[in-house]
Amino acid sequence: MRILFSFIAVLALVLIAYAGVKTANLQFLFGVVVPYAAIALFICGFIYRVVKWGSSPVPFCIPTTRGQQKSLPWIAQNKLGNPSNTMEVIGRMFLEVFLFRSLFLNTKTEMTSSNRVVYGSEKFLWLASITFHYTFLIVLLRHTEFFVPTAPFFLDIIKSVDGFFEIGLPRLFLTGAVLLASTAYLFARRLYIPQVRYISLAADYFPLVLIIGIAITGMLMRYVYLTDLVSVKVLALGLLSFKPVIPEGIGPIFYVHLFLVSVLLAYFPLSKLMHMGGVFLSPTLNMANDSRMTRHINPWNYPVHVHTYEEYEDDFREKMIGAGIPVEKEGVVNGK
Amino acid sequence: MARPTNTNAFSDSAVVPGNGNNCGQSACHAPEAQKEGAAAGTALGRILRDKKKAILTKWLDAIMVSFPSGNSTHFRIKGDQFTNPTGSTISSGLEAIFEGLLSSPFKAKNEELLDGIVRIMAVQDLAPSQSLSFVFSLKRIIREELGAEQADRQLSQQLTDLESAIDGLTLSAFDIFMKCRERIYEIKANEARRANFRLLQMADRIDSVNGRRTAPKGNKLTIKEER
Amino acid sequence: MASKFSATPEELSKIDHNPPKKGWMDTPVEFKEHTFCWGAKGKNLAALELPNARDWSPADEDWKLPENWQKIFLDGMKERLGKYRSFRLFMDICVRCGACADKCHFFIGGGDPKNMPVLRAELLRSIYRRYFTVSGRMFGRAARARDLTIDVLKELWYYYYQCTECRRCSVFCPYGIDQAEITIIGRELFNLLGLNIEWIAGPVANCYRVGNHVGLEPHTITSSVEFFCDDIEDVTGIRINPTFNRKGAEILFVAPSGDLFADPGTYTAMGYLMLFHELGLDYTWSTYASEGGNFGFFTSNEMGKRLNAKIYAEAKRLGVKWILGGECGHMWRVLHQYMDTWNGPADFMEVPVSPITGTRFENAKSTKMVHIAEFTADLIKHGKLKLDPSRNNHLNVTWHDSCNPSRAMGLLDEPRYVLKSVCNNFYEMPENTIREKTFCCGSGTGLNASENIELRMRGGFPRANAVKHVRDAHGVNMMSCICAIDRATLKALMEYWVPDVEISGLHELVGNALIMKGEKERTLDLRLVPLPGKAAKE
Ligand code: HEM
Ligand code: SF4
Ligand code: SF4
Repeated sequence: MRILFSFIAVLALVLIAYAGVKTANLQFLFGVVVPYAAIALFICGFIYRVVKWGSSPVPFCIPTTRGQQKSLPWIAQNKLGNPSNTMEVIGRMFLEVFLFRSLFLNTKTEMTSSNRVVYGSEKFLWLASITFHYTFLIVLLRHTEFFVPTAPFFLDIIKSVDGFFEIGLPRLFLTGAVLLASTAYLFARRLYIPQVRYISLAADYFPLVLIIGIAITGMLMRYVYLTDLVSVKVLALGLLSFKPVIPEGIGPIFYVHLFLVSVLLAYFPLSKLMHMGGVFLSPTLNMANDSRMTRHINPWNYPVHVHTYEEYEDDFREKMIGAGIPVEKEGVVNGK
Repeated sequence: MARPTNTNAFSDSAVVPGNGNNCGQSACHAPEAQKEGAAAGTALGRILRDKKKAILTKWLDAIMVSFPSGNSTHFRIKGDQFTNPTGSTISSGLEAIFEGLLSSPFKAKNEELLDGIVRIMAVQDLAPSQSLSFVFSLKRIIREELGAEQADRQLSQQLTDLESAIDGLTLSAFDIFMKCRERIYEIKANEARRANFRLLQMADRIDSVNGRRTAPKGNKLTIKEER
Repeated sequence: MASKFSATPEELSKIDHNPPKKGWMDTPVEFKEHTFCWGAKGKNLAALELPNARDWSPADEDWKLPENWQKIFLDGMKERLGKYRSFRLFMDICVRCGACADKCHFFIGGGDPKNMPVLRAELLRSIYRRYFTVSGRMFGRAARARDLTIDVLKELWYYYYQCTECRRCSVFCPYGIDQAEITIIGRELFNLLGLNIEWIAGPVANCYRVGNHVGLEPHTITSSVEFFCDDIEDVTGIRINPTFNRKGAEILFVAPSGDLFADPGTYTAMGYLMLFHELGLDYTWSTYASEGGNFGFFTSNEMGKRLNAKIYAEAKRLGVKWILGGECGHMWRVLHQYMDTWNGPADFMEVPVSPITGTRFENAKSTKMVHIAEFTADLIKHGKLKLDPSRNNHLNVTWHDSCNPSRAMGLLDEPRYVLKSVCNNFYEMPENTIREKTFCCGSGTGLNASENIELRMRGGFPRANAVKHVRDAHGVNMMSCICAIDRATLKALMEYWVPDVEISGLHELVGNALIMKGEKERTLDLRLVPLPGKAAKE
């Protein structure tokens, strides 16, 4: 159900865009209005969500420590697992954000009872996630060529590394294929790992299918229904300079691609994809474990009702005296 | 042959005992079993060893069905000895018991192996019948797997022997189960006793009204725990 | 026990290989005996001024909730979403990647899918989505959002009292999503409705009025300690006379009260006493702040703070320079991450300096409380203790990292250093089961009751299994740890799974190895058991 739903939803999106452009000639809608709306939603939504998170304070210093604390000078601290200052926190976050360290830690070489080395399956989650994210990033960066008049310096580097298998013309970009493969793996594991299947929601399948859709339409444009890149660039630059134009000669497949991307952008702030922003705010990761060195302030700390020593002594004075424990008010009985 | 066993460790196909990290290499047990095994030398032993994989798969299924729906998913997964101790204790235990049945003498060692599994079953909030039915089911599974072959007269005698061994196993399993349950009650009692022991000791020696010690030093209670 | 079982062999062979066909939202909760704890007594809830004080039982159909319980729950949720960034964020950003799924000891040992940390969180997220997100309001079930019905409340309750707030899931999550944090808030919400368990509410009520969880009154504490001193005298020939509530002492010592009454924690208390005596430490115990542990923390943030307040208040009243803390897990979670924020600043004290070595504990300069493992490690490093580790030669020791000091503090190598200095035979458990990946005892956060014993045995199995491994491989017969709950519950766990392994605190072994000035030749260990090879000489 959940899975089917995602497929149908994405298919419907494809058809809407295709039909819209092919039969109803809604190029302006799908080439200009929808992208603008999507970008607006993305930016506003993203900011809204981050501000909303930011508006909840962090009352306690609760880092999850993954390694030895800083204590005595001669005990080696695990600075990246258990940071005690801002620099170390930055180091920890760097590893988390760029290398997905936690997911990697999941991976352990194990000796089994028969003394053979096996690897945990979790290795594949890390591998697929990291390839997915990096190829996604590279593909995004590659798209900047449409948005700037002259290609920025990094594009050439990316392209030359990326397309170094020159298989015919046009060049086959590795990243596109790898992106598709890793996304497909992430999707597949949701199906065949029983636990993950059990916890998956429609909201987990949908973005994956959507991204698969984007990747497929993108590759179709590149390798099958060749699209006029010059016209696309005209459209992109038009959007960027707020003087939108709809150039002639762009096939419907491009509008399908663009529409799916727009949907992804608009959907982004509504969904778990916000982990992109959230990871930076996560108090268990981004705080230094220095709560005994520096007092952490809770902005809503309020006074509470406590049982004072005086009340305690009133309750137990006789027994305390009997047991030879010093008291504040010798000779006072029952609080009088 | 460092096969990354867990490539698909979560998939059902990987839970087949004998396909996992312990002894998928049934070869690793076979020679050892054959050198002394009475049943191993028999025709039945040879046939069953050939069918080992199928039998163990069914047997694992039979034990898994005892768990409430859904709870067994994780145990079917052939994880490692420490990350999935329950699953690996059960599946490697079944395999070893099966091997044990094909060899002889098997009794002493099998009890130890059974203990590992039954001890887990005994704290899963299951009725004894639920927990132990898996032992019986081995008989049915073996007959199913033998199919027409069991008609063979010679085999059928050997099969009867094997089945009475399984019956013996069932009885042992029941004993172990009952011991485990008793143990649970002892543990509760011991825990309460440990928690209160010092208080009892004190009650014995102090006057709780004015807090002064009454009994002389050295007046000690002794604590006895049930094992 | 579960309902009668009467499947035929045919039925038995029909197996469902997959998780239940029905999704988790359609699988109603079933309260299984031996898995949940008894409800809190009305008198204890009332003593703590907690709402909806009445006797109740989780097994009853009627939980005697206030008329408007839904509103109370949802308002409480809203308030906490605004107060805790962690809560709001953790409700939002989980990608359900499943990395945490098989990391929870309750799931590993019992297999119930709702014990996967991610699903435990989803139980509450489904409510969050329904009432606090646009998509949940719009799409309802399709977005896995659901109404807060009484059945949903019961399910939440059942599974939130099957989480020991151990943070193991958090270690593996790419965003650090910490189910412990979500459970803490979930339990706060239950407490708005009077849904605490007796095993927590009882100790909290005791602790509030009497000063410690078991309700040891002041004279009971002193006599308990005196008994330890008697035993110490038997072992060493030295008489120790500790002080209580003494003004002007340099150091206030706070231990978990478990060490004062429950074996084997009591032997650890003897270890503390011997060490401090040998050092000539100017310190005092307190009967008012006689509990370092804090079951209030398992009730609500506010209750945690109310109980914890006594420690600084007493330090101030007695005029000590700093505080030394005994061996306890969740006690140190609170002291390390919460105390200063709740009840600080502790500016009436000084930065802790060891009077023996002169070491300034810079890492505790604000909170002014030092962990005894840090303190002792420093002593040993500076050669201030005379130790005879061979007195622990009859023990093959392994080390259990308690959850809170490991994952909410990072106290890992200090106790190991001490342990290796006081015993000769030390063996680590396998890598995936120690340090920050340590497995919980299965009984933390007030779940160490006896009515839920099967849950405890299941939850503790991953830990026990690793112990079994070192027992078989190295003949380990003693597991040492720095947690009072562990000392009580691991004992029970071992009795079931690995019967020949005993449990001790770190300072029990220190006490055994410590060579004291003027002591007689030791023939007994702190348990008054003859030391092998030494007893004969007497
Ligand atoms: C610390 C950094 C990050 C980590 C650890 C992380 C991890 C993950 C993981 C584990 C998944 C789930 C894969 C699955 O479905 O099983 C995922 C999905 C995804 N992430 Fe990230 N991510 C990070 C940052 C980002 C960033 C910066 C973006 C920016 C675009 C991003 C975009 C996505 C997208 C589009 C998906 C796929 C949709 C989906 O799985 O539902 N992530 N990420
Ligand atoms: S590891 Fe984190 S993101 Fe992944 S399912 Fe668990 S809580 Fe969610
Ligand atoms: S905090 Fe511990 S007990 Fe709770 S869900 Fe996570 S792993 Fe399980």
